[in-house]
Amino acid sequence: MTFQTGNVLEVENLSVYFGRLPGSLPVVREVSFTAVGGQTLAVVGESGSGKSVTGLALLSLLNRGLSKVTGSGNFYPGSGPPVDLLHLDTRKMRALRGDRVAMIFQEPMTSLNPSLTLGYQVGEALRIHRGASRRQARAEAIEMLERVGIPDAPRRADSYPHEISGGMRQRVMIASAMISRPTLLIADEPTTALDVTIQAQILDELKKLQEEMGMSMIFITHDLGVVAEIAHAVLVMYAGQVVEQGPVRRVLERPRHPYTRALLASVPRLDRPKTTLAAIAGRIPDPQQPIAGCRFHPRCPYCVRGLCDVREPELDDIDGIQSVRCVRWPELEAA
Amino acid sequence: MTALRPLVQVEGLTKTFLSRGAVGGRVQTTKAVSNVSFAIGRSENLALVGESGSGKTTTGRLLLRLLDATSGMVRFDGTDIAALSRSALRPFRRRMQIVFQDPYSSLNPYLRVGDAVEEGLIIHGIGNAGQRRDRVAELFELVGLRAHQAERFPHEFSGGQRQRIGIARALAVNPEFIVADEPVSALDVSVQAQILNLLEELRRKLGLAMLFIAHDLAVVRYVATHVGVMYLGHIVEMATADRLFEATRHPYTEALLSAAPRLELGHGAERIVLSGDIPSPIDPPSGCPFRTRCRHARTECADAPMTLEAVGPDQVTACIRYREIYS
Repeated sequence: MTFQTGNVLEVENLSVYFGRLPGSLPVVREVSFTAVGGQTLAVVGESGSGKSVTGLALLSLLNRGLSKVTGSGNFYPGSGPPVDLLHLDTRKMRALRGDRVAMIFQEPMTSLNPSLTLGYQVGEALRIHRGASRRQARAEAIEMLERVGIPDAPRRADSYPHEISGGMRQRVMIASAMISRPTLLIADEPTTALDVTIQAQILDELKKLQEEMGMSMIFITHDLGVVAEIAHAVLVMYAGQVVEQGPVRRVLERPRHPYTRALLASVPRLDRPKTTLAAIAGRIPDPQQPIAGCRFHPRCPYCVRGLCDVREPELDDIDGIQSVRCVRWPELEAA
Repeated sequence: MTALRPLVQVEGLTKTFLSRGAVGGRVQTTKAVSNVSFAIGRSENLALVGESGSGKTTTGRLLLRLLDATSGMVRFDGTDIAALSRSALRPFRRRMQIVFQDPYSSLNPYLRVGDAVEEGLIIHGIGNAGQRRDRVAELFELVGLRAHQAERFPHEFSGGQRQRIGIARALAVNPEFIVADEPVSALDVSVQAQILNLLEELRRKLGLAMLFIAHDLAVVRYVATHVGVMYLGHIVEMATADRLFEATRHPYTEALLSAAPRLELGHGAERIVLSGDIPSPIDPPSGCPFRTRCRHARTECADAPMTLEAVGPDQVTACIRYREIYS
């Protein structure tokens, strides 16, 4: 078992462009982060923030003819030298995907093949990447299904996706991603389509698997509550950019960016006295929309004309662990 | 739940769907809504919460008679609308409206949004062309849009704006009662708060009675005056919103509250993780429908018939063991 501590993935200046026209604006802009072994990095943002595209770009799951990806993504597969995920040929990427790096998606119904049994699909990675026999793959698949909490796994292995519930399907997805004991798991909104009681089960399951296998997880979500439950570090994205990043406790308890603050204030809560929800005015911009200065300034209550709508803020390192993309953060901090 | 005659009164509402298996052709019955009773007064917002398959959406549709009930009564301002003919129902249609979950699929893409809002006025023969145009402009302002935006098409609007249009459309005919079926669950958090605040403001300003269908208890807390928790077609607990959140008297409500992700780090609250899935409504458990996942279940829970017991003046629970559990 590869129980990896230290950096598993180092992404630098990842940008994604849609459309090959010269001058097209990026939907993901110079995103940099590090994923650590045994830990979960949450990528949080609303629609159009670029969080899902970031995940897809890392595994070359974007249509290459329609998109352009720049930057680097050094992945440390446990043994051997690092490989740059963003500059890997198709064959090498295929060898990595579903083996050292796995991904789970939001819609467990559309990501499972309806005409194959669950056991076959869960064992697939072992047959493809490890040359396991059908029988071996099936035996390990059953073991993995049991591990993710599927009752009566030997019988369920012969069932088809339509015969089980949404929560069970997501468990099956997790089982098929985890069967190769990946070094890195990218989970894109894996609990969004599920009911809360089932979501709680799945989050518990993922935490348990991470503890047992020591994988690094990139957890893409729009739900700050889920971030608080599962993440160690968090990356807040807005309109294609990272606006704040840091350890989860710091970002949720001492958010520095006005967007992070506003987002936290707009979450309906059960654990605080009820007050009026602080909505963020205006609408989420289209990621390709050109906006002068800070991309959040049209909605920001602290926007200063002539400053925020002119100067494009850098991602400032505050203290070595937390960064924020706001030119006014020291002032707002003092206020 | 109110001293005055409630605007909407539901008694013993039941809906059974018949389905035939694809292979074999055996007819199966699914009880989507079982013996549901409640009342909603003017200016009240009853939220129905529950997970998928709990029957909350079906209940909403039965109230508007978008579906016909198998049995039971829906009284609207004193008249049992479940028994009315189509033509007799017509005048009541104007008085009750719906806001749908998905603002993308609920607006006709070929229709200017102003025309979509005006449609109800035309159907119910309200005003002349000039008056209707003024009314549409007024509605756009009411929901936080600008009057000139009525000339545009749905694709020119964001999700939140479309939901405002959906609300304007529902309000056009001056309804007294609105069913809002998951009106914010397709929206981003920052926009969701705008719509929740708008609905709350409209309820107060217009004295609307509202049935708010949702799966998210935290959302419900911000808009509901009363809450009914549904599980497998049954209401298992119902109370004023304050009571429900502060003095829960049903293990399922407790589990739902506990399962909701919290922003507070290290809140230390013990999480109740329910095991398994919701049982199939085709073959529901006997007695209490929640007993198969309930950590407090005893053998007697399988035998006792489902009834709601009053805990206090504004709270009922279906749990036969609530006194022991919550003492």
